[in-house]
Amino acid sequence: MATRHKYDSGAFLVKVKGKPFKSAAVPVLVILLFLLPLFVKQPYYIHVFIITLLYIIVVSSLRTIALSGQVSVGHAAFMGIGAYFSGVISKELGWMPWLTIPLGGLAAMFAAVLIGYPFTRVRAIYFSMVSLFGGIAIVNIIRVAQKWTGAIGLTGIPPLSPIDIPGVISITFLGEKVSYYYFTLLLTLVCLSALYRIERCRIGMTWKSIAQSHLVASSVGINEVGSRVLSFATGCFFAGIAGASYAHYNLVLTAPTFGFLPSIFLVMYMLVGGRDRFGGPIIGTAILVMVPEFFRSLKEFTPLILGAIMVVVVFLMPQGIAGLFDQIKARHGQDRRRKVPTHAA
Amino acid sequence: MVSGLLAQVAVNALMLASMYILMALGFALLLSIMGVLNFAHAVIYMAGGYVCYQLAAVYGINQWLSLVLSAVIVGSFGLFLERFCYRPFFGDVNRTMVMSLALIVILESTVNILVGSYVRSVPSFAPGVMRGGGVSLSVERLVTFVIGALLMLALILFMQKTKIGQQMSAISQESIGAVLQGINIYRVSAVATVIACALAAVAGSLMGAITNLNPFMGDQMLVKAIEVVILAGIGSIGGVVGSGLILGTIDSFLPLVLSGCATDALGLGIVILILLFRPQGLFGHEA
Amino acid sequence: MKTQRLLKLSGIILIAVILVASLFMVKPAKTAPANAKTLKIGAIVSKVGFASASETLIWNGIQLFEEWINKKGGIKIKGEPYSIQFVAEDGQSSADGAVSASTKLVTDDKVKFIVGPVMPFMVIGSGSVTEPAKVLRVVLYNCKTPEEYGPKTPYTFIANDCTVDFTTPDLQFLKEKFPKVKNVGVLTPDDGAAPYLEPIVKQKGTEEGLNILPFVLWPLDATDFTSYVVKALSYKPDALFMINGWPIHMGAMLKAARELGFTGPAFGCHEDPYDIDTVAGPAASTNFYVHNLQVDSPAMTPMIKEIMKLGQAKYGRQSPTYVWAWNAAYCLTQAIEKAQSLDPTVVKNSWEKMKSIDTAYGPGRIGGIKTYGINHNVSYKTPFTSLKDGKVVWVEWRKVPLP
Repeated sequence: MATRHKYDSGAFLVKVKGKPFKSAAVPVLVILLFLLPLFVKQPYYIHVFIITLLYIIVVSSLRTIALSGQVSVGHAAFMGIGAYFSGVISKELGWMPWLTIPLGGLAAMFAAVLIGYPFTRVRAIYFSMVSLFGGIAIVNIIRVAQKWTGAIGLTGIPPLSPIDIPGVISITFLGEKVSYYYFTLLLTLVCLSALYRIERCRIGMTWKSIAQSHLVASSVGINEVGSRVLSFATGCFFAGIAGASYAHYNLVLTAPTFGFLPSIFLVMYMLVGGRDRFGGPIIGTAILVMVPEFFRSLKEFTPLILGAIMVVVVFLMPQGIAGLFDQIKARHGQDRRRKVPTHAA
Repeated sequence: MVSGLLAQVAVNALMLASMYILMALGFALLLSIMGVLNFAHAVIYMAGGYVCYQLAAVYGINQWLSLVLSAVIVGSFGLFLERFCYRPFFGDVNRTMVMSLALIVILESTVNILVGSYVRSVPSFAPGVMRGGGVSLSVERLVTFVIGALLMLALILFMQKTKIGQQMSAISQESIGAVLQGINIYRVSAVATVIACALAAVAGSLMGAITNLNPFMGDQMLVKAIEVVILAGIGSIGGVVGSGLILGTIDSFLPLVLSGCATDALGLGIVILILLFRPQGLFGHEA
Repeated sequence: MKTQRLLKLSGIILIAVILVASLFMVKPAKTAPANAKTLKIGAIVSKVGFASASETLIWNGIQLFEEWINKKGGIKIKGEPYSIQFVAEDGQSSADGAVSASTKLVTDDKVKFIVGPVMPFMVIGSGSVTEPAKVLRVVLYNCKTPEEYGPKTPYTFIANDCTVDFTTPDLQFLKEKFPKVKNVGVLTPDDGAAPYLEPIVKQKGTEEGLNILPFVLWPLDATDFTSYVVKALSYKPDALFMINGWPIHMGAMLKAARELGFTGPAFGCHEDPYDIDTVAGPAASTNFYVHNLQVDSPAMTPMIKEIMKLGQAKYGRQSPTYVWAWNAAYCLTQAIEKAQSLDPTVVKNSWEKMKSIDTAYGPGRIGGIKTYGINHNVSYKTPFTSLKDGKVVWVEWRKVPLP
């Protein structure tokens, strides 16, 4: 089994061999999620879960981009591209959402290639800043294209068309939160599996090597620009898919949903959950999206809960919440004699 | 009459530029010198405005004194900020960013809860309007311009002439080398944070008088401040003047030809284009 | 090292506590109907975000009404007395917030009636949830976009006159008091309503013999309005209409206009003149007209005076925004009582046919077919107030044509 080495604040050489699931926790969780509608009856909380699952896809895709050392602070905009593209096409041309959702993902991916290519000129914090502006610019362009996107917002987006196989199964989506929930759950599982597989493939290794040292990577013959654009495009594709699904669930879209602050929050969910592990964004998003919703009754005090969680995590968990497991393992695991560094130098 | 219009727009551009520069100064200082993305700049700016309002409007203290007091009070908050919120994560960009975001969330809600979001405006510092040559200029904006320019000059002089200022420049250029020279990096960053917070407070108070106060006013300001600083380039304080002027001109002229959201989009497009060709900004270090 | 581990442990425990606590915040599904003697009405107001400055006042107004009506014994449906309880959800000044808030109200709190929101994107957002659920909504404003309000939103009502209803009275006022005015400049937010508003306003201008200059649009998140006001003034208007926006925007535009040397009359729509005065400052707050109240004027209706008394007692403040919110809730409860039913469809049908309704501003009528295509507007003599030398000065009650 390969040993672990920690470099900077990002790149982890994860074991290439070994079981994907450390424990039975993940399959159990998935089964519980499938059974959720049995014990949660209120549509409002199903709604919260749906939104959370969609954002989990987006933040996980953000992490995929971050694997190659590019922290995109404009990621929500690509979710928006997918959402608006799918929404407008299905509304104006009448195509089925089942068709336009993948198209939305492709549109986001296309935009990512277009934008990501010139953005490879810059690295690290400069990339983050440029992506920040890129995100805001995209949202403004969406606003300006009022003829299609509707300046107040895009309304009248068709919901997911019913699945109707006579005699076998009939599912409607309009007004049925539970149907949307299962769709979203399946979508999330598919996307997350895809992202996980991609990460463990050779291309994932390539990205991580670029993040560690782009000079060394280039010297070994890795095409830095191509790989970075690929990582950017991959991440944005999944964000686009999630965005398009959001459009056909919410049925109403407004530009600020995909703007500056949401983009920053996405990065925050990833960082708080833990950037190093695949499960990090999942945990981070789940906690930071769902907990404030559960505390909604506190009205204007609700953000304080969010702030409290963030402060605790940032002080006590340098690798994010997911990093906790690593810290505990390192303390009680095989490398007992090794000291656990509390934060990267 | 077109020349009158252009003259007015030009004057507006200068005024806008000075407002942007004022808002961006504190942020630029921390980013260029300490490498800290201090998103909390948004809420400190807001807090400065509210403190000034509290002193001037509620306690009835003279406005100018309130402005100075607000800068002092908020500046000292900077000490706490540096010591407990940023020093533990020195060098770790991610954690610093999350911390500053946590600060935004907590401070915004605290102010919203304590003071309420009702419409408030800091009492005017210098009421009155000057007119001449077909151009009108409110004295308040002129005062803001002057203060902005003075602070800008003071900051540059501080960086060049005083010992601590020079230490700051050293750290921004090569932090490890600076430490090896015996510079106490923690002390310098404490001073830098205090100055940055004081600058934010002044900006907040002045803007609170020109426009109005609300707990979320920092959010939009932050975008503009980041634009100014990134366009100027990380590592350059003086460059903030240049990029502030450029942005002020863009934002002043574009509304004449375009309308509504298109002005925002095009303005940003120009900034992005510049950045793609010169990622280190107009005046910054090499990327 | 030991304190470090202790801190880490306590941090983990704190987060675990929050997570567990959040589960307890989840209220169990209501298996039995809510207390049969209480009618829950939802309210979508923004507690955070840029609109919270004004919408908090709206919530306060609703709460004043709640206390007042319950003191009077609530309402009577088929002989049963019902007390009223308003449940607020935070719309967060955004469309998503509105969707979330209305989802919570409709599916979780199971309300059948809702008051609010105000801004078009929030109205549309919440409408996507409330209309299919057939929940009756009294929104507080309208900016004349078809998706916002009209035949497509049969369960939405408005309890006050809105932008396009004010245009003709404003133009007529101009002709009366400022006969020299020929050109009227317009500033309006770039929120999608402008393409619908422009032809209507232009047409009304032609009817009154005044020239409406091209609309100048400003982005909703602008902090400085000078450039936009400069553009509007470059058309050389004699009067300025500032159509739609909040006091933070209107006040800033008024201030900029006066500073740029514009001395002509300026008009808002429906905003709080006191807040506009605060933002614009005493020097600029003059020659400005808005369809709102001077709260301490003797011309106020008895109900308005009552609201101010209650507001002063509970919040230490007398704001005309209280009346606006109160009025919406008041009209809603009257309609429910008139219909003698808690079924929104029955109330809707009954409200449409009401011949008259009492409002906080005086007697009102039901209209809306002509302008909006749906008979769901409450219209009354509109209040008209001015800002003069930094003070709020009442002008008069003006007649508004039935929309």
